[in-house]
Amino acid sequence: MLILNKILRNMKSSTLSLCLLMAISLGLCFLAPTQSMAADSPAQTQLSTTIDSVLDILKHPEYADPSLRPALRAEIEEQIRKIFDDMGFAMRTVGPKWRDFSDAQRKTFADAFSGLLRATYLNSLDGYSGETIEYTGERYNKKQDKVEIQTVLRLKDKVPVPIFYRMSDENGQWLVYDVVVEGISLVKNYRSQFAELLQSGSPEELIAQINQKTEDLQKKAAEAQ
Amino acid sequence: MSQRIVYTCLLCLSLCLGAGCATTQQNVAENTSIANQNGDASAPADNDGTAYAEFDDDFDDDFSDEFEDYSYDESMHISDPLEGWNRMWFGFNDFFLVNVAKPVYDAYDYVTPDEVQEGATNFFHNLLFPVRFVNALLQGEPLMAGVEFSRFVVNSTLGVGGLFDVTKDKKPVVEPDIDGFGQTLGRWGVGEGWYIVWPFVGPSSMRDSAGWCGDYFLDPKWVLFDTTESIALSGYRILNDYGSAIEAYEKFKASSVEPYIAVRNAYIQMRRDNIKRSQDR
Repeated sequence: MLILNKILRNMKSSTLSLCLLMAISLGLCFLAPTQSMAADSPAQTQLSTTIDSVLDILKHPEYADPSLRPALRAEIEEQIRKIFDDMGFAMRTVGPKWRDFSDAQRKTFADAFSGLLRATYLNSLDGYSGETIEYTGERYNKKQDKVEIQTVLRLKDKVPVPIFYRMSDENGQWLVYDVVVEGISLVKNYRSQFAELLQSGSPEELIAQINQKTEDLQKKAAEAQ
Repeated sequence: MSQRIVYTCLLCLSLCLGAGCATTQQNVAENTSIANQNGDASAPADNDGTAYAEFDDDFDDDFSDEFEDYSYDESMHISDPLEGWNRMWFGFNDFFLVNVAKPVYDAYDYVTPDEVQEGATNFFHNLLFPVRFVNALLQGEPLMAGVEFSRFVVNSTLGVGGLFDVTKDKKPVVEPDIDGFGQTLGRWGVGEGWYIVWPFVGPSSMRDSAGWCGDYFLDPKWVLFDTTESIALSGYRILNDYGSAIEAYEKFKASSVEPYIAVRNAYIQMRRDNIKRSQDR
């Protein structure tokens, strides 16, 4: 410490600021700009078309009007439904136990689950304020029938959120079957919950629990408005 | 003072040992997972000449059309022998977050200008530079350490002691992705051990808890300030950062059907992804 003091005292202030300047410029050279590349694929085009049209609706001035909102909401739902693989999503969240579900149960479960997802995520869309989506990359599996489209959601004044959309090729149509947010796969997360609930309960009970949850969410959203 | 260090060392050691003993096959799965999956579309051709980045098991094999091949799902499993105990603290934390932390944070948020909050966030992030720098070196990432160092130098000087993040808009040569000693241990191959829910702090694993102990020693607060001041600073830092955590937690809880399992699974998925990323670099 003493030595450091001596050095500092003996150094002229100009030398000191020169050293500081050098340290800073050394610092800045580590922060040189880099370019990221982007590529377009059918899956990405399909995804971005949907996302763009949803964002367009959200940006629409009519969306701010509560009386006109339901119609636009329905349009958003329609857009999302087109690219979302409801049944695939439901099947994957249940996992191996899907075999024990009857056809009727599968149908009710898929409806209940997509209802829960809609109640969860459509409500959060209302807070939209100029988020931008950046496509950062994509990767295919070997068979090339599945792809992961990697995006970053940039919210105003917040840490960017990496969101990956996993899509599969269903007869030429790329459908989203899982969404991975910050490394957390939605499908896997629900699967862990449903596995636990199906261990002690029947499919019917699970469906009832999901519907209950959806109801709670809708009630809360209605209260908030 | 010295007593505290001894206790921390003991806790650290026991957690490390525990985590090491409780290593599951998950670790093996991680290590044998395909090398190249950093998500780069332009990944170079691998041994058999395919030019496509390969996926981890779950993406490639699990979701084939039938369920034949994944009756046991690795991704869901973490050893949780303390489940009853953990559930109790989970309930406690939930109550605390909603009924105590949230009102306190809302009041703080209301009276504190955004600039002050942001300044505090920047300041604490800058102060914890040694944690990221040392762990970057421990993980053999000199470039990331370099970027962290540059940011520290520039923000500490031009950014007035770290209050302003002047390097925010500068794109680094490589974006550092270092969060602490828990990640370093994971990268070194230490298994995660049991799942633990700590009061106030939330979900963790034995490995990550040991990691926090490591980070504690690299936190310059304890050297720069005395104990009371350091505790006050830590408390303030947690409060200042609470906003996004509370919001994320509430949203996540609202979307889940079985919150305890949902949070546990999300924590494991997030950490495994984080560590896999660090191993694949």
